[in-house]
Amino acid sequence: MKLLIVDDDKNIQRFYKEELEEEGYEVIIADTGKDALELFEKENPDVVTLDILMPDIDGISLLRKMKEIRPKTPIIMSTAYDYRDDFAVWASEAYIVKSSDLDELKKTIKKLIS
Amino acid sequence: MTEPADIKLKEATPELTDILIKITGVACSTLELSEILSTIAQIIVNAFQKDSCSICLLKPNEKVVCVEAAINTKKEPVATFCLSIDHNELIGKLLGELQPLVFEDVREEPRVKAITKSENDGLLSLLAVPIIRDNAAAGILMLQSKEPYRYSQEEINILTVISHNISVAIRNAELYKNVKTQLDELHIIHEIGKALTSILTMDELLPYICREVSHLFNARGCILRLLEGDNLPIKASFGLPESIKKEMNLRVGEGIAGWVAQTKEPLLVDNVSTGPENQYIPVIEATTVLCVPLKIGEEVIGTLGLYDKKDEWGVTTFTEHDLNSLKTFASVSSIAIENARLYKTETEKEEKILSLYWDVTQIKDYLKSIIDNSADAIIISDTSGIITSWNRRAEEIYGYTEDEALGKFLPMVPEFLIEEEKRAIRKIMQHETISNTETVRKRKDGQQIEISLTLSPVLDSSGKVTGVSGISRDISEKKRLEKELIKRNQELSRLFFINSVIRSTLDLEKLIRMVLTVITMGDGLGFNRAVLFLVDEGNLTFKGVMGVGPADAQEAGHIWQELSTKGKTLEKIIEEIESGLFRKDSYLDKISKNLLIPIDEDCIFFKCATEKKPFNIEDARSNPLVNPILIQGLGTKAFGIVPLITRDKAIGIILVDNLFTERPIKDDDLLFLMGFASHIASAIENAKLFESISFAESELKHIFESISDMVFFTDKDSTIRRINQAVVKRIGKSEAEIIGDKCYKIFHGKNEPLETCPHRKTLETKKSCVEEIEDPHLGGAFVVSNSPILDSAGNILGTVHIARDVTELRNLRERVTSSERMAALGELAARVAHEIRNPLISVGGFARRLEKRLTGDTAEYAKIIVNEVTRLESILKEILGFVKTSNAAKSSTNVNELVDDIVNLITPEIEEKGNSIIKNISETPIIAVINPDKIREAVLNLIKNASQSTENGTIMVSTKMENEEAVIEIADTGCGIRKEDQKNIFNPFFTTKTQGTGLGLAVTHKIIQEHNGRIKVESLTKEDKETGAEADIGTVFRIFLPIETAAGEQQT
Repeated sequence: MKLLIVDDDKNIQRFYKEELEEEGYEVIIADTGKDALELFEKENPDVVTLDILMPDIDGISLLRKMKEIRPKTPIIMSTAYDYRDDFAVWASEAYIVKSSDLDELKKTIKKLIS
Repeated sequence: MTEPADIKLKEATPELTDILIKITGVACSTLELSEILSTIAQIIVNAFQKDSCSICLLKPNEKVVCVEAAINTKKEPVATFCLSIDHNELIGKLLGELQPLVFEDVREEPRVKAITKSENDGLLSLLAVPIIRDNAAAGILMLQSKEPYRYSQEEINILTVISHNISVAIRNAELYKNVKTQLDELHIIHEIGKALTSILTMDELLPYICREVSHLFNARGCILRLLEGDNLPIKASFGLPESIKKEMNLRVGEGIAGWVAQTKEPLLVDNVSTGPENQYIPVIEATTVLCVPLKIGEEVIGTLGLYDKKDEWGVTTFTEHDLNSLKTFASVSSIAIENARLYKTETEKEEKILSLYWDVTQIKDYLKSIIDNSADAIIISDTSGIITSWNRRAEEIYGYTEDEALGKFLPMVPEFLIEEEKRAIRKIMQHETISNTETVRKRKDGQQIEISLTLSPVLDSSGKVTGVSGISRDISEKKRLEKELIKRNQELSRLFFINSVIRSTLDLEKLIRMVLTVITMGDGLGFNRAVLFLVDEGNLTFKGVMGVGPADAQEAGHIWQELSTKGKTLEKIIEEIESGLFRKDSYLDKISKNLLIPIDEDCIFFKCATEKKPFNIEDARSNPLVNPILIQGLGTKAFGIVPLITRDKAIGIILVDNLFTERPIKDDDLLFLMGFASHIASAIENAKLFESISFAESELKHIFESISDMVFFTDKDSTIRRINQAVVKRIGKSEAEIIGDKCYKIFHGKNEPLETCPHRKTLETKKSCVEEIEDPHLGGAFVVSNSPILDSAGNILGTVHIARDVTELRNLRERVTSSERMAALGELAARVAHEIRNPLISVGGFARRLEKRLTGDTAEYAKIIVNEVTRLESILKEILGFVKTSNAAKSSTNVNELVDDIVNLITPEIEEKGNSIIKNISETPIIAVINPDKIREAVLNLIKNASQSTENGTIMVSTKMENEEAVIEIADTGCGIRKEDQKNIFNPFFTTKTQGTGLGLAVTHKIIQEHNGRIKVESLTKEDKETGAEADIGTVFRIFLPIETAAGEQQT
């Protein structure tokens, strides 16, 4: 199982990678929107985790482009802000508030993969 | 008596003969009488060789004798003196008996003393003989000597003869004097005669007469008056100031001149002041007056008066002779005046004749031009019917040129009328005139025409009939003109009437009714029925507004008998219109009001309105352009319509028909109707305008009354003049109590104006101003705007106050300020939160990883870090959830379904906590335009909140409609909120709970606010219950959401 984590914070990238690899997933990291799209196309991840606030392309646009490329790949929106009432977000398969507790994220990924 | 002297003379001596010859010579000379007498006296004294000789003459009144000539003893003439006959016996005897007196010595005769002038002149002898004339005494001739002397008979005889000679001399002298006077008068007459030939105007003649007569008679002044009716105005004067003339106008019988004019006799007044009163002359200071009438035959034409004769010693009296002379003068003057008058009249006559001549010439020219240009044929023939004159119009009417007609026998009279025409000519010969008979004439082309003919005689100067003038007129033309005239007259009177109707009212309804009535009146336009349609632009129809006319033929008969303008005043007619058969809600009126003709290109109404011309529909049923509604509604078979046009725009249509009389509608009638339709249109427009103005006025009044702000007018000294209902409500007094009182008293409870009153400022600056006033008297804060009321000259009459209670507004504003402050704080918090979020996750994340690998105390420490980070994260989540803005759209949502979903979703969580939840959802759908996610969040927050503050209780969630608002109610049986906390519950960061940030209610509040809704809380705590509250302990939150339309929402 291949997970694509899109986040610009190095510490968070490492924290996510270590935690999720421990769960048995192959984790690839993109720290810009551009990288994320390349990796999404090339690596064909099973699940994508997207931070909505990105320095080059915002998460909503990224979400739309990825859905155009491979609509069936589940995408989890993850952010500090509560964007749940933004209609665009509804195109994603899940929405979680970023937290140091990754239990919710792990449950969501499991659910999406199964 | 004298015979003896003649006899004796024959025996006279040559000496005596010589004396006599001498005396006769003297007596016959042309010398003055006094000179003659003196010479004779001298001759006598010398011839008789005596000392004195006197010649005395008897004066006309025969009472005195005066010595006219005397030679005294010194051979000198003596001054004349007079002796009274009455007092002298001897003289009386002498003059009475005509016998000589002879005394040898007068000393022997005492009676003689009186005769001589003096006793001492020493004359002793006396011979006195009478001077006899026409057998009567005319004087005395006396011879005297100093010595006593005995006169011989011869001497007596000689002296007697001499006295005869003296008598002759006197006669001669008188004759001479008379001749001279006559010569003088002749001279005057000659002068006047000259004047007559040279002076022909009264203006010159009359002053000339006055001047001449004054000079002639040595008079101080002269007045000439001429008789004008009973008046005797002064026409000319001499020697009198101008100003006097006006005051001296007399009437016949008044004053001297008046008397003279009345009696036709001359009058000589010696002394005016002693004369009768009616002879008194008030203005002229005159003593003696001579006045004679001016007469032509026996007719008095005026008077001529002279005042105050002058001679070398001053004023004397006029004499009888003057009077006679003046009479002569007056008669000459009269003739001169009359001549002048005649001349004047003649001149005037001449002028008149001259002007008459011109008039006649002009009239002749004029007549000629009339004849030439006459609309009538004017034909003159001689008495046998041969044409002598043929004017232009005759050429046109009869077709014969002048040349063709002249000299012919009545070419225009058809054969069968020749005899009749001849009879007519015979009548004319008898000076009869045949006026305006209608007959037939024949044109050159043979066509017969009807004419009206007037025949009259042509007379020569002697009054003899020399010909016949015939004036003929084409009758068809005349009749047409007559008709036109009558029609024009009718039109004018209708127009006049309609105009007065239109001017008499601005009430639209009344106006239209009157106009339609006039159209249907017998002596108006006389249509049977009239219906007015006005354009309804909103609904694109011609809307029937009013119909005037009878319901059926029977009613029609009544109406046309009763309704007439004849002999009625406008008021009366209007009264009849309002109360009569054409009144409102008549059968036709009701039908008309229900007529709606759609504006449609295929409709005759549309054509009429767009082409702006009348249409005469003769067969309505077969005309495809006629809307069947008209035929069905009005039952009309034929009708006419004219557009009502004002300002180039059709505002409606008037339809007329003759349903009952079935009289065809003439195009002319419609044209006329069209003619004043524009009057009607503009009147309707005016009335509409007036109506809209009155409507606007009442609307304004309504607005004024219904403004929730207090509005009132005050005059300059703050007296309230007008108020609206808001003032009455707020002040709590009646309108009557408030109006007339001072505004500071009513509004502020003070006895003098407020320092801050904007009224004062407005009065000073003449500009509007606004002040915010905190008024404890009325209990509130007010924004008072004040504007001046100015008259047309710009003077302030008063001000308008609009006072708005801003107490509520102020409170609101304070709340807004606080929430703004809060929002700013929130933004800051959000930024901070965002910045710390990622580091916090890293800290928390790696702490969790450490916790897994560590054991013992260090694991415990890691655990502490993880817990603390978790707490921080949850705080951040709440802060960010509150702050973040939403741009999600709202949509029409069924509130019932939404709440149902929420309750279903939350039920497990509530029950898990030991509480039960009850739904009470409205059965009728409540649709509100909301953001369902937001509202879900808000409601969820409230339910969670309720659950958190309730232990083993019940939470009830219900929906309903209340006053056009959707209400969501969340009630719990929890601990309640204390009164002092209730006002803070929507404040972010305020919480009574041990857990959470307290942002829940704040977020909820924010969401509801974003939906323009309200949220209310009612709550009772245990403490409240203990102090006697009846309701149960617990809290109720109510969310009120406005029900808005989707369209309205998109605009906001």
